[in-house]
Amino acid sequence: MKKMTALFTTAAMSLTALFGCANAFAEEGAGDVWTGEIEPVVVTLLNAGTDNPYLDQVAEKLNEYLGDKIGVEVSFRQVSIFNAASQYTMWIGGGETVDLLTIAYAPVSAFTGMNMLEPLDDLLQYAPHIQELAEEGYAIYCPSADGHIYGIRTLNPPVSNGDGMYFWKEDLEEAGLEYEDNQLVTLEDIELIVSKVKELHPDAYVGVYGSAPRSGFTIEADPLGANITSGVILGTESTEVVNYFETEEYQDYIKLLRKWYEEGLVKKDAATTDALEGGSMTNDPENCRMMWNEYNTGIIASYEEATGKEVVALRTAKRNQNALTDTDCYTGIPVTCEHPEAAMRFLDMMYSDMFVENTCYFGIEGVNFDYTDETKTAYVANPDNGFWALGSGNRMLEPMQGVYKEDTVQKYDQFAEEINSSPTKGYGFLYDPANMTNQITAIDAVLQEYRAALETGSADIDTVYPEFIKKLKANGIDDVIADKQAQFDAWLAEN
Amino acid sequence: MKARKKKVNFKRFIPAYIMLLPGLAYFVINNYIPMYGITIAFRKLDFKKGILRSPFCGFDNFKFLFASGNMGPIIRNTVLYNLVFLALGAIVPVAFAILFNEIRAKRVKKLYQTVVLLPYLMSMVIVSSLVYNFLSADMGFINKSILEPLTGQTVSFYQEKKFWPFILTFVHEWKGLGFSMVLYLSTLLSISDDFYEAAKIDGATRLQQIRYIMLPFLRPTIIMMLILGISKIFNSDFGLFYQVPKNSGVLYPVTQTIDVYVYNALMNQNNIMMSSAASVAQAAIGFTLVIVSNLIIKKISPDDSIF
Repeated sequence: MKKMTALFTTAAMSLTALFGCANAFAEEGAGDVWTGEIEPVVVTLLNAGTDNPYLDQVAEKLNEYLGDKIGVEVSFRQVSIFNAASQYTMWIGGGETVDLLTIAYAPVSAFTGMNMLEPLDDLLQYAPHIQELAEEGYAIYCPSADGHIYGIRTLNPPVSNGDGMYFWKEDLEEAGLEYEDNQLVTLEDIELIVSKVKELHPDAYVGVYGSAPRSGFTIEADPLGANITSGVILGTESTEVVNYFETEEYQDYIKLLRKWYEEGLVKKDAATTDALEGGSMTNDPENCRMMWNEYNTGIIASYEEATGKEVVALRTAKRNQNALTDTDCYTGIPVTCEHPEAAMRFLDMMYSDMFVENTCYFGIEGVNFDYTDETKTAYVANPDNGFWALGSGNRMLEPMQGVYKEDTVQKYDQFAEEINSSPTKGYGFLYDPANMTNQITAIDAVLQEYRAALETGSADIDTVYPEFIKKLKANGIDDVIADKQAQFDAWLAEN
Repeated sequence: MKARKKKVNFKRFIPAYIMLLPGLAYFVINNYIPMYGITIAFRKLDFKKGILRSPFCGFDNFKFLFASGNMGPIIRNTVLYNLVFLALGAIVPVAFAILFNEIRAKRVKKLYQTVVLLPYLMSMVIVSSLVYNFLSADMGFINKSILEPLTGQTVSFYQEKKFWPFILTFVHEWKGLGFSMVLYLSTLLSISDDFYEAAKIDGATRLQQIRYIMLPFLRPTIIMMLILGISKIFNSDFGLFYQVPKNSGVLYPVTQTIDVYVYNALMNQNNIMMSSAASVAQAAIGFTLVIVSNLIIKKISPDDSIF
């Protein structure tokens, strides 16, 4: 019965979408020509903390392209990804007009709890391509506890969700070890490789920093649409929500890092530094010969350029298909939006039109970036006039960074297959932390206190780790996990 | 006998009131109207309804501040550091001001004054980098140029709690000294030479002149600075306690103050209700402390109270 209802709703929505759009387009058989009113849409773009000087030119280029396609005149507003959540609260609180908000590092509930976002259910009729992607099985909608959809998730190429420890290929060969790029290995393998590299190159160290804890790269954990703070399920078969920081895998990670710290494989200041201060493969290529990072072609290209060596990444955890995590991006329409329908039409273009999506991310071809091959499957940013935005849309439409390599596409496909074939039991479920805000806030403060020191090996595990767990419990982590488990069980019973 | 009331001619003061208007407007717009935002701390905010129509939720937004006894060490740090800074703030800059007052060569005096004032003009991020360049375990001056050559060992300052009460106090004094000193120095410069001449004729030594002339003149400024300091005893210099220890979690037991805790707890969230709750709590306690300390001063020395 449920399936029938879903089928009926989908069919009805698709028809409405087609009908709605058909109405707005030219009635005189002019094809895709918009005859309605042109409405302004203010779109937020996330940057990495430095303002982008090309916003107006890029908007102009886009408007030129959009012309009379969808009845939208776009303009941009940029904000640092690190301040976005708090900045949006100020904008919306101050009644400023913004039509599309790209949100990162904050769960949907942080916005719906204060009624800052409009439900998108009725607006989806203006986004037929987004609906198509959802029907194809992509977990693209961000639902909320009240059953409405409040955000459209950024579709990343699956490979960008992977991560691994990067090594110089020649170091592995020198040590007599044979590993393929993107190979899945155990923590023991990594320990062995690192010790051999250190033997051969006594000044070598592993790039880890307190600013970016990396334990997550070694644990197959699904945070069920929220932060790991509120508990995770492990692997693809478990339905038990557990404390991430009490798992055996977490303890193994911090023990290994402590060992490395004591052996001089991790810098003494690691807990209080970032990749810029602490040394990385790009700024200290001679000695920082090993580091954990996300796996993508852009990072490989930058490491290979800095080191002048071939670099391989070995993955330490299998990636599963799980729900939205708090580090994912999604786009919503705020309550201060003046043209929600136009905003939705533009968002739909970001999920279906390669030119729109690429221009929003990389700027203007020939000015900010260039394609490196004829098929436009790879690009390089202009080092002097780069345009770099983070955020929404269908990133699967984007070219890959760096030089196009045939086998990279194969790796992308393999990886996508691996992820798509292993959904966790929580795939499709999103935890709503609204009742636990006080506890989660207090737990966040505890994490700030201990995580960097433990995950860089800078703290004595025998004394500090038990203290950390005790403090997490004192601040209510078990209540939060129980709440998550209860919501998850209820969802499992229904699905 | 009842004194006859003098008739005040308000017309005479009209120009003065007109001159007051811009300042008054600034205070009303900038300091008083936004105070209605205090209400956010007690509401469950709903942006669709607006601030004033959002439902009240009592003290729910304050709960995270007092979750599981975290507040004990944080309040202790905030208050104790401030007390130490207040005490030192009443001694070190006064001493420096008196010493500066003794310098006769004008050029040298200006040079010294600039040197002492310079750190005050630096941003805390720069100060944090300077401190890091001294204390870093991997490449810091103290470790690489002093400790390692002499002892063969290094100290991970950013992982050792015991050093930080001293480091933070030193950095605070080093950075703030110049500004406080200028305040006291300007008071000293306003003392008429007649006092010193009269004292000299009476046979007063230099120390006696300091004790019986300079310190009494400085007393109102010292008290005013003290009361202003007390009002901020629940606030802390965020840059000093967050940037300088590089937010090292291991050091929290001795470096975390209320502002740093609130920042760390709410950094990943956009919960302005809880942020408002934290600042309302700080402001309420600060306000109470100012009233109480002023009352105490009024009892001890009525002339020196500020209201």
